[in-house]
Amino acid sequence: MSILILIFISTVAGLLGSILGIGGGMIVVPALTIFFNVDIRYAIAASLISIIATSSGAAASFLKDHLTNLRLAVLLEIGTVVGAIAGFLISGQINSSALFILFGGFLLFTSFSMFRKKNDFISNNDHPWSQKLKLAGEYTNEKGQLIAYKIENVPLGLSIMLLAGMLSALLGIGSGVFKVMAMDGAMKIPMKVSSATSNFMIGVTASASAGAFFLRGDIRPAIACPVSLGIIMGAWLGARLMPKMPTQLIRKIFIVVLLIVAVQMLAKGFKL
Amino acid sequence: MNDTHSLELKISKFLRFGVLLAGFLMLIGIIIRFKWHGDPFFNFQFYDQIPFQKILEHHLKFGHWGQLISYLGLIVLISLPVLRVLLTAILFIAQKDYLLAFIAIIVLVSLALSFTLGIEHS
Repeated sequence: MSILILIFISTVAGLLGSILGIGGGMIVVPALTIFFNVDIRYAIAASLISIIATSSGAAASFLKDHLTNLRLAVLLEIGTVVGAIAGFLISGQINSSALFILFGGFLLFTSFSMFRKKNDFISNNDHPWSQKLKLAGEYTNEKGQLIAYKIENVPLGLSIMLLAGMLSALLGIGSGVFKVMAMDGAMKIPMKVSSATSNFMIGVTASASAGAFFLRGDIRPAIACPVSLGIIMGAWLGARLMPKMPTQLIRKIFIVVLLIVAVQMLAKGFKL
Repeated sequence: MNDTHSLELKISKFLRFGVLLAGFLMLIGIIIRFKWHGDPFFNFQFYDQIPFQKILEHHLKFGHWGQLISYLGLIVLISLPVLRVLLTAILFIAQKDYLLAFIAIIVLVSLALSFTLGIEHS
């Protein structure tokens, strides 16, 4: 019975994730720890698996739409993978309460960043690294126009990716929010390209630490499999239903839910 | 440029297929194990580190097929991004973009390194 409930919750997570463009980790980890009383370490390890599932499925469609900047993704992946390794190494030393607090803090940060308005830039300045590696690209916007863009601040973007990778390994999330922040905030890349490229990269980041957690024995099929199945189904459903969904309304409800969950995670961390 | 696009599409299809395969394996694993008793999450309330190798030996010894197939599904899923990076490296080589192919290989090596860290720490 609990297995079915877990699959259901994960399906909702996958659904929301694909509609709102967020990883399911933010829903899965709190659900596992708060409802099912699973130790946060197992929850994080299981969540990473589901992140890989979401990312690989999403990656497939973004490649088709030619929004993903494959070259940039590969470069930035150095940052996220190194960060993930560091995160995994730290995870062995850090205790559960600290993880809960970190997670709660991250949820707060995410809910605030969902509030802010997004301005879309097109940059004409190509950073020297971008020129050398020919990272700049073009994409087709909603109106069907081909827009060329350049990329700034590559080293800064890489550094933020290090942080994103670390958080991914520590909290079992995709860190999409940081990746998008690095790309559209620091590197001035158009929003659509940032999202697509971020989704593409998330799987690699998760895989870096998932492999290590797996061999350490932290990924337990009893938890990870129902979660992954639910997320896969939910993401598939989300992609189909997306055109018909009142995205803004869902977004607002989600921000409220995030805040509530953030408080609960923090409370668990501070043992209130 | 059309070559790139069709190669990217192939990578797309491969990823999609991989996810479905993994999902299928996991589903079979759950179904075989379906006679779980009581609260299946009871054992996970407290973290107890058991290296994967020991777990694997245990399941092989007792012929726990459900668990073994589930683990196979998990392995497929974890290897997907790794394979994806490899395919991307090949794509760059096909485009004669050796610098970027080299970077992709660095990512690949880092991934392999990160996996081994899991063993050392058990």
